[in-house]
Amino acid sequence: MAWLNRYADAIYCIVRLTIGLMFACHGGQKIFGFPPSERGLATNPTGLTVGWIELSCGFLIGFGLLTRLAAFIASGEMVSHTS
Amino acid sequence: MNSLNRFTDPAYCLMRLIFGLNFASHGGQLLFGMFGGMPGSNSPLLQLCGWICLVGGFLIAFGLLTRLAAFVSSGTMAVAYFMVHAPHNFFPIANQGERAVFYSWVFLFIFFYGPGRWSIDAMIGKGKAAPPASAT
Repeated sequence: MAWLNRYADAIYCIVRLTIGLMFACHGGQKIFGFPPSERGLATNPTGLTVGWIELSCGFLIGFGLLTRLAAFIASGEMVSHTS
Repeated sequence: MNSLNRFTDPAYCLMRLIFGLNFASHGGQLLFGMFGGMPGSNSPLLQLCGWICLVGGFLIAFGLLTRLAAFVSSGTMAVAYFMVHAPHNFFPIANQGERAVFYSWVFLFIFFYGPGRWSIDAMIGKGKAAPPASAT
């Protein structure tokens, strides 16, 4: 089964892309109202900070730019996630 | 930052453990109505899904038959996404299917990456081939 490892890099890239973009969607909902959500835009400072972190880190992780930094910040944000 | 790569194996083991156990608890919820939040189900399809979640989740968590379990679980989640969630809305975030997408892709990655060095498979020699040093 070890021959599968040859494709691990490609799959890792797709996983990063999918998860990063889904994460960015959460930020998009809070900041721009896209994708549409019934919860509406974020108005308080916490919501805005969280939204911008999700939006920017999501795209950075998705495309693999400054990945470790973005992943560390996003991970910490999810741990302290309250709303 | 490459010094962080030395922690890849324990971090990967932890990730497998957390994803596997979380996945198994969906099985517990579907089959036995555990954890509240949702009653168990008698529909044969959901029963099947529940058993796959429960058994696959534990196998992935402890790294036993990891690739097989991850492949089956990944396929189950993909089917679940397109059968249950996709018809409602285009965006995973709006059709409640985000977790299905998440599990499906992460398990597909586990299928390709293998059990890793910190796993039962590696202990009993099934994961003979060492995984790539890092997936970067």
